[in-house]
Amino acid sequence: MKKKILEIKDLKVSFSLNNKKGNAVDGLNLDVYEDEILGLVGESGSGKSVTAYSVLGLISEPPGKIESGKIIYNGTDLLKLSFEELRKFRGSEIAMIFQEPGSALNPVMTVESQLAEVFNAREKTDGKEIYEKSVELLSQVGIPDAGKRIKEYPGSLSGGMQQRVMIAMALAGNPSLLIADEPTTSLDVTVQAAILDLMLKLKEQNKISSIVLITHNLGVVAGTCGSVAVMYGGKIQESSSTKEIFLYPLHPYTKLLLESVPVFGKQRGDDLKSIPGSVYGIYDNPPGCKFYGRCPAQKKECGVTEPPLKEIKEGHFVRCFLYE
Amino acid sequence: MKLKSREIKNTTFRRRWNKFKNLKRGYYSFILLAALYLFSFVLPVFIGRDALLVRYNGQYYVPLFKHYSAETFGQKLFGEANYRLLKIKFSEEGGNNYVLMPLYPYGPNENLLDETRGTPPHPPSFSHWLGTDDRARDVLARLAYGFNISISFSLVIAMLSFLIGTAAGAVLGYFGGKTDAFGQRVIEIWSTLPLLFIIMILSSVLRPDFFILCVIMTLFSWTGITYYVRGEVYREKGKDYALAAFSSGANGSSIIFRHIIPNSLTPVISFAPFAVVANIMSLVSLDFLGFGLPPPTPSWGEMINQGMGNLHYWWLSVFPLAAQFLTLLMVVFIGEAVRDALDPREYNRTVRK
Amino acid sequence: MSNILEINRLYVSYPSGRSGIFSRGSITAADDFSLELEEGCSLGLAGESGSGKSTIARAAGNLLKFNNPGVRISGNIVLKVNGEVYDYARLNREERAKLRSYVQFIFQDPSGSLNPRFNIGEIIQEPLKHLTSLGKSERKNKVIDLLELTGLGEEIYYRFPHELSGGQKQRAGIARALAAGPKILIADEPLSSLDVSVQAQIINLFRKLKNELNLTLLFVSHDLSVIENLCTDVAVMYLGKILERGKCGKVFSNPGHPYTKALISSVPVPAFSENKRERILLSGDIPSTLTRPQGCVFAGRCPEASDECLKTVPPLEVKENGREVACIKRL
Repeated sequence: MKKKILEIKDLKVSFSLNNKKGNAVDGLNLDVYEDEILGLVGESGSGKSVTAYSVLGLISEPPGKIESGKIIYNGTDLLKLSFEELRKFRGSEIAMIFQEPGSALNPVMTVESQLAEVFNAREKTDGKEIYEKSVELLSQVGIPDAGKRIKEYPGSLSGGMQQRVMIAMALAGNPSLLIADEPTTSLDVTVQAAILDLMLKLKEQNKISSIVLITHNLGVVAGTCGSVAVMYGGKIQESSSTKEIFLYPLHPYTKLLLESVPVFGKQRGDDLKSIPGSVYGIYDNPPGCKFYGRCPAQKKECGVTEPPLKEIKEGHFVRCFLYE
Repeated sequence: MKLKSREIKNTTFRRRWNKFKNLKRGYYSFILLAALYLFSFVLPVFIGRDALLVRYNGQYYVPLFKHYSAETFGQKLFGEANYRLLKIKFSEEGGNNYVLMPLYPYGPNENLLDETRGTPPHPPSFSHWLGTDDRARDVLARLAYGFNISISFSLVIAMLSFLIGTAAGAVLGYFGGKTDAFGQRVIEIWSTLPLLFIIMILSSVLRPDFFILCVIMTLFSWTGITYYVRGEVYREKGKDYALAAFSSGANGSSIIFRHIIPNSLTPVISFAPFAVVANIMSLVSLDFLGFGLPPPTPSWGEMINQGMGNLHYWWLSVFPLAAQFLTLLMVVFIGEAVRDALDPREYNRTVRK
Repeated sequence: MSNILEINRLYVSYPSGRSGIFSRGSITAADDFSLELEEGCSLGLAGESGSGKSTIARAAGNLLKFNNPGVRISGNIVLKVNGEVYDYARLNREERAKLRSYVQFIFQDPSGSLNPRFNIGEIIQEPLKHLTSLGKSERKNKVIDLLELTGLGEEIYYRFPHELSGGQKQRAGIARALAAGPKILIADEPLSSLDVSVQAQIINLFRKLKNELNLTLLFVSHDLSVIENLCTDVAVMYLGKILERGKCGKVFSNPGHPYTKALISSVPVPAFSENKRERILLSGDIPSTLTRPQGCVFAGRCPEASDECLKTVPPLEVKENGREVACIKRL
């Protein structure tokens, strides 16, 4: 049995706007084990980013609020920590990279000084040492000519290079867990392939223990992750190993999601299955299963009570009344 | 084909208005100020020297709308009748004649030397709530009439200069290139002209009245808004809906006026209240310096000037300053609320993925 | 089948940096670019960002002259509809309006392409207003038909863009494009800002409309799986040039150009496989269009490049099975 590195228990995060209040994350349970890449899959509005932000204490309050739950990292409940204590966890234990590397980097600071800032926040070391460490890190993340590139400003780097710099900054604190929020969405396919390759390599080389890869792209998950959790309506709907999810999906949402994306080399010219309707906003909160309105296999009870997340096979959890 | 003719008016304006209504401080300031401004147009009914109704020898007169000479009512005075004295006379006489006066029966420009004791200025009293000034004119009446002039003046200038500024900005932003480069230089040169000196020169040549002052001020205040509109139009033109309109076969004027300008007015609207503040201030300053509206127009600047000259008579400076302070405060509150109502950030920040 | 649109030796460049007297060189977005659209075909234009595929789409839609100060265009684009020939460079007022109604455009960002102050009915009416002589009630009826056709339903008529979901907005954008009765539909990355579950709906809608209305489709996308699913033909672009084009089936099952190979190997496939797929990772980035390479545009990143590739520009030549490849190694 592998060790749990991160355990999210019954997390509820609400957002309020114009006197309306809704749960973006609504009773989420998620375990991240050591030495794995977990894919957190969901459409926009499913609450996947909010989950990630909650782990790092980045939910701005107001309008957001963590209502209840526990986020246990290696035995410490992160939600009980003070701001200052949490700050020490960020970067050194858990690091995060974002969708838009261009806007996550400061445009008026060189790569070198931004990296130096990360090092300085950890320990006071002398400038020469930091410089050498930085260059080493940049070459590790596959930036050619790192000694020269380190002097440049983010604006003169391409999107792919910027994301590599972000990864280098994330690695600078030597964290065990990396949360990547749609890290390749804004990048070209060839660059995306290279970044995903890099993340796999970093894990193989034990530079990082676990990665949570948040994405909407099932293709990215299939090629990279060992296990998958599918989110919808602020909840995990199904989770299992990648093999299980792609070969034997159980939840109607997962099934439809897999059938609605064109698979390269298959289904040429055929109509795709599509999910009727669209995700509703977090402020209208119907009772029952979150997918009820769009589900082709809906039963009466689905609209009344919400099914629990159940382990159907070993390690395969599903939240649906079809499996009881 | 059937289509319910039910129109759901969920326009951008409606949404912003609702948001504005939720910003209580600004919303109530707006209601209050708007009510006061509308009220100031019917001011003669409540504050003024002319009687609302006179019954004299079985006949009815409405002096509010028509001037009557003193002889009409048998007063031994030159010029217009003095209805306050007439009222006293009638009540002393008894009989059927009567005079219905406004609630506060003093006009803004009337010299009350004959009806007051001692030398002006008179301190606040029961009959003159805020006292009188050094020419024995009622301060409250002058303040009230001055309010209308201040607000009208600033609204007219704001509207005219925004009209010109928006048109000029839209032309520069839409056509860009050489038109833009040339137009911007012209505007820069224009805005370096010293306003105060020009007004001083002009007011020595021609006697400035409300209209001329409006024109002069407009000529100097339209430039500021062009930069914002120009930038906004330039940005909006780059958006896909403008290109979509082009692709739909729309011509230039349709793209500018129907598509781009309505979407570029956000800065104009959010600046409007602050422009009103600036205009009120400039009229006050001009009046204070004596280059503004000609005497005896009841203007706040002139009143503050008088207060400065008569510092011992505290009511001459305290009340005009307080009135101006409160008005500007309310306009600023409105401005803040408008700015927040137009700010889409609250939506963007909360609706995260 | 005859060609409905022909692009001949098109060259498009934008001024870089400041426009006007201080301009410093130019960015070439299309370089000696030729492409024919057969009537009734659906061509997928694939490429990474910076490849110039959007520029080609806009050029074909006659949209380059709007808000592109200093753009330089040479070469010619010709539209052939019902025996009439329209040369893009020489259009009078009447012809321009006709061309607009024959060629319509669908934008990448459905939110940005709908005027936020118009309701959906007004938005879809725009082309009818400017390009047809229909009266008010006829226009309204036509809009309602279009709403039905695109799967929106007439209750959307009085809604405003912000009240619709992304998928609905894109449907409205498509309805607007269809309003004037176009022959060619040009779609510039119409799916990239939509959710995965909605993308399928829109892909199916495109297929349905193309078949029902007998349209010719120019579909710009970076997503090869979508192009494979929707299109009959594909053209792969890189730095303003076509590197390979042909029938989807042939190009994708047996790519001829090294770049196509790399692109295909990077497509994320949402299916489980026990053994990891071999990815061809390209070194470096797509070079800046300011400094164009001398020889083959792809030579700098090509795993198979030789010295000769750096010197000679390979022409786009017909290889086996009617497929065209621009690579000297494939002679």
